[in-house]
Amino acid sequence: MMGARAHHHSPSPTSLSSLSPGLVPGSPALAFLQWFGRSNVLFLILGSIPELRAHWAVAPLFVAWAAADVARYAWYAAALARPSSPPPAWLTWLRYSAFIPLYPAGIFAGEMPLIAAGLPLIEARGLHSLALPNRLNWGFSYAAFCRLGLYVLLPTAFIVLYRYLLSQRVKRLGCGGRRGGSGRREA
Amino acid sequence: MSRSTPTRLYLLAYNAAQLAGWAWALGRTLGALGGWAPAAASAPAHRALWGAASQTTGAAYAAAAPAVRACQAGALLETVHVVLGKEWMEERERGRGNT
Repeated sequence: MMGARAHHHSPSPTSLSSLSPGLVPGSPALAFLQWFGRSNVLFLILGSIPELRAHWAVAPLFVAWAAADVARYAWYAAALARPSSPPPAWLTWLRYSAFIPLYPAGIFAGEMPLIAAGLPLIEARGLHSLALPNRLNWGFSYAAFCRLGLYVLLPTAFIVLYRYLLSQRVKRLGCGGRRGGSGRREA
Repeated sequence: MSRSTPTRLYLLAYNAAQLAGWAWALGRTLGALGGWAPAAASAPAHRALWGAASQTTGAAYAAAAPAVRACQAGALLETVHVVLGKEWMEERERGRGNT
């Protein structure tokens, strides 16, 4: 659930999950939320509902996550490997352009269909939920949480982060994203 | 932010490991989808639920999921990096204030 990673404070493609290294400045809470977004789909939904693992949305999900992160980590590795010079322009372009198709693909063809398909099973099996009455006198419906994520959190996060990513792209690549990158390091 | 050599080497190793893991996962997924990687057959229950395409996607999951899970679990470290980075920045700010 939730898209776009942030690394050195800029969210990157697919999945609001994870601020990356740098021993970097940023919000730990946001970093955790971003990590949790993807992990929710991967571990809590796909991990506990074997039937979903053959759902058609698994393929676009994995392809979008993996392709986006290959571009992202390659850029960071290149930046760290040669601190004195910026990463190659083509890699900078790829890092700040790959999210344009991959982020919506991961969200709308991957995470959302999987959550939607899993909802009836989560509800029927009471997965990850705490039913009342219990000793804590506190109930939790994971199905309701997923419904909230599906209809509110995920679309909202997508709009906010996609706009942010586009603005970062313009900042890094110049107007229209045609320039090969300024080469300025982020951190 | 400038980084000391041990920190830079650690981050380089972390990013290189993540890069390798995600590249492996991408290759396995595409391989399973294209039929040029060893496919793990999906269970009959999967096929009954999701139809004919399920065999391919089930194979893609079986092929790539271990790498995807490992990379995503490892990505929790990025939260730790941010926590450490925040402390480091605060320390630096305090240091600046004292001088």
